[in-house]
Amino acid sequence: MEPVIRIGHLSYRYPDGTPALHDITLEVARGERVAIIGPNGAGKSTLFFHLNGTFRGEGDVEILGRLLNSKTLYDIRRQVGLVFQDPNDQLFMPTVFEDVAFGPMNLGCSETEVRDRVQKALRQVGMEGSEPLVPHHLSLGQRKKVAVAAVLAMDPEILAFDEPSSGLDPRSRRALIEFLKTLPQTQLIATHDLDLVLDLCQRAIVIDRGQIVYEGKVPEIFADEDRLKSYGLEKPLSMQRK
Amino acid sequence: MTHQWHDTYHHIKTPAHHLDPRSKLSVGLVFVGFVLFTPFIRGFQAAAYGTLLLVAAVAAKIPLKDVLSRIGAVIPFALLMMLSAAFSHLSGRHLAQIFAKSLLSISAMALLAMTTPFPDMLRGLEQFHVPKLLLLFLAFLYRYAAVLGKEAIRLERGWGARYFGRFWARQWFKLGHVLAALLVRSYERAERVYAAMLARGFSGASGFVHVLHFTIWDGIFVATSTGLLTAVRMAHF
Repeated sequence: MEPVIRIGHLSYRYPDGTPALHDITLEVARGERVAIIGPNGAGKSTLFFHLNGTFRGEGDVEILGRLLNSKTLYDIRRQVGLVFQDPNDQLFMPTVFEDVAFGPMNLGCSETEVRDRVQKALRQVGMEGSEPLVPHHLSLGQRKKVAVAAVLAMDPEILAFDEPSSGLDPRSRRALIEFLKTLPQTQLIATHDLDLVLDLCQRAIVIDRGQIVYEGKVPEIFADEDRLKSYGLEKPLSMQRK
Repeated sequence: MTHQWHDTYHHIKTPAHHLDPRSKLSVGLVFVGFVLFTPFIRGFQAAAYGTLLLVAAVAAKIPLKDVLSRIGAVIPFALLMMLSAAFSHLSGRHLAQIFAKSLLSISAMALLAMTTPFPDMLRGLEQFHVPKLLLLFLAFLYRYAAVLGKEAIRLERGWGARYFGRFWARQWFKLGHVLAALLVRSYERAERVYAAMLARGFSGASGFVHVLHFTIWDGIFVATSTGLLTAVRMAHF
């Protein structure tokens, strides 16, 4: 299958010199749901910031067959929707409507199209009617949904979720998993929630200390308990009970 | 879920709340203009301006004590202005004028803020061609005041959980550490927010979608208010 994400020998250091990513090479095919798993500080979020050019390391990042560089940056950015771990970082406008409209307005859509996109995206996440609400009046689960809507309104081909289920109660988490299953886009999911991975993803990539240390089909990865432990992870709870 | 003090009265449904923010902003600015440019506010004029504000507060169903408490919060600033003028050649009557004018202007703005949701105010200001970058700053200020406020409360709780009522003088130094932690966290959040903006195509300035409706009632409100203010300004007794 044609890869929509192709990363070749990507390395990155933070401005203070701390190494964050080292020689990352991976491919993701269209429509795939891939989990990026690893302990805290492994470099999962940093890797995501390379997908839309927020961070620029050494090596190649190719999105939808186009090499990411200064010329292609803005075109690529509209194709990669990043959903942040903390929705407070992502919802920065004073109302839900304005926040979801922020992306489409920057894409240069007409006002009618902006309204249509906002309505459609909010309906998709089950938050229709919340347009006039202020983000800090919403619960965490609702804010997460609006954050997803804000990205969906840009109609991206690739979605990258950073810890999508963190802080959610079981019902909201279940609803999120079911919702993610309905999305046709290629999805990258950085998470510690291995049960979510088991439920949602076909393939997983394990990152530790900025390097890919293990890659494969989800059931195979979770079957190797010793290896998981060596990377600070453990079998999903649902598998431990069996 | 957090409700900020400036959102307190926005759920009330009165004609004052339904007015277009542009009409309220216009009348508020006209009011301040009239008050400031009245060379010498006489007693009856001050009473008339005050009555107009009172009528507006009653029409908007805002409890008077709340309007007064907000005015009370800014009185120290009006007093400071008076105090700084006291060191000049100005007479006591002039100082009283400064105090009265600042008090009336601040009351009008407090009333405007209590009847207009902040996002609507921003949309109104955009229609008045206030620079978009400035509006974006204001939008962030509004959005993140709540987030930072919550963060400050969490830090204060963390400090309070390990403070047992002794060595109070040392706590001032600890307060400095708490504020420094808040600053660092705010800075880090600002970086993440900027990354989120870039991820959604931000390239310098972003506007608001137009959702305001200036109706005939707004026209009547602006015309009537301006007429009344002109009458007060021109009146001679």
